Amino acid sequence: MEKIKIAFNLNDQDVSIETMPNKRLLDMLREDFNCTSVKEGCGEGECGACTVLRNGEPVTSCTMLAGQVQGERLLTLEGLSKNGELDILQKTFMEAGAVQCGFCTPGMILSAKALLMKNPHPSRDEIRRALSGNLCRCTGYTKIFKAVEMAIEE
Amino acid sequence: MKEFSFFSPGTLDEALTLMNQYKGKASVIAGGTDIVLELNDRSHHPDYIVDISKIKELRYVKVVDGIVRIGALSTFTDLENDPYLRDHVKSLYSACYYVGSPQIRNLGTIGGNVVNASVAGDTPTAFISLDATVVLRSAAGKREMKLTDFYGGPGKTELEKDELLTEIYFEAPTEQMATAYTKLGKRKALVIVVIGLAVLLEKDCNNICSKAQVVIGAVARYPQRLPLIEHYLVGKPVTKETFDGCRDLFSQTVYEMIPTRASVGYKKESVKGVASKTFDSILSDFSLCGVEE
Repeated sequence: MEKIKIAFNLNDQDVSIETMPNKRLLDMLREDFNCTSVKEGCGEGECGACTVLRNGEPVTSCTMLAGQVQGERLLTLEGLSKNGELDILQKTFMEAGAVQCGFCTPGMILSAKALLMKNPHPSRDEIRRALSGNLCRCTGYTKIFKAVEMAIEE
Repeated sequence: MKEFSFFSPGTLDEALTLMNQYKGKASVIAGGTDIVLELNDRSHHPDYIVDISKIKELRYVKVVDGIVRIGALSTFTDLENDPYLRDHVKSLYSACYYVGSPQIRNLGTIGGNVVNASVAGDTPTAFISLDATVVLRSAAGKREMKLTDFYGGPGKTELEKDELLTEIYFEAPTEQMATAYTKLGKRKALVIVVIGLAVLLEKDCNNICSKAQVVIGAVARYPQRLPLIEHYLVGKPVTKETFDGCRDLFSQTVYEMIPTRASVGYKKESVKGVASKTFDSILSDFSLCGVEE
């Protein structure tokens, strides 16, 4: 099997790697780039724990091949804080108590981030729809929606 | 995941050359929302993967001379955000709006949804109600066929091993037409369709139904036109009473399609509600565009 060379932008840095093509994007991000905020939950594109932003849009990295990100711009939770300062959503998720076990949190925050980048003042219904691809099995969603609303107000 | 060689052509011509070169040994990946799972659990292990997701020329929605043309690599999100489809082709718009999750809609492509021929596909049902045509290209040339002739069963289509589906097109609905799609599922997001019903209805200036294209999905092996119901509707006034009058016909039709299936008891009853909801949407569309007096 021939290796492939992939060049893309990861968290505002141009990166390139030579890797085997039979890898999911999820596996490459975790194993080759140490982006362990990207979680494997269901592995079938249902739960959203592996969500990353591709060109600003949320996608499930478990349903993409590594080679498909050639030339794309990716954002994982690792790239959200700037100069050691947490993103507003990371702060409001803590303040609202929107994190319990934390496994869904990176995906939740990224889906919320994508929404706020496009629509800075979403309604509760728009938040619900934007987060409908991210499942939380412990906290419930009320505090998560609240955290997003707190970030709107800031 | 087993080993494979990976190609990512930037143009359609390059992709067709690869498909011709590795005929039968290559699998195509576009959005990947289905095939990556199969590769990962090793149920599918091609020698070559041709990633067509970078072919920009196949991503468009345009209306030219009364024909709506959709490039195969347009995503569900692309269609959901298209103002023309939202206002004029509500059936297709709704079919896309309720697919999976935002993440899946950002990845999944219309061509993939059509070619996969899943029993639970949403857009094929809508496309067949629009009497859509698919454009299939290979290194040797191009052919077209009606989507109704394209399917042979779950996962089975007329697509040859060296062909790519490049476009789906249909006649733009006129002002005298309304379309609707209703998806019955067990929850509100990430829904697998239980029944999908797509309708295109045309009425004349006397409010009489002059054309009906009614398609049911997720009941038979692929979406089916329902000629009995279409005949029932044509020639009748476009009113709630007419539509209520065919609820039992829907029930009977579904029963006859899947008499021995375990789900028949549920589906033959629930289809009545699905039909009512679909026709309510058609009626409200007609009254909104002011055709009704």
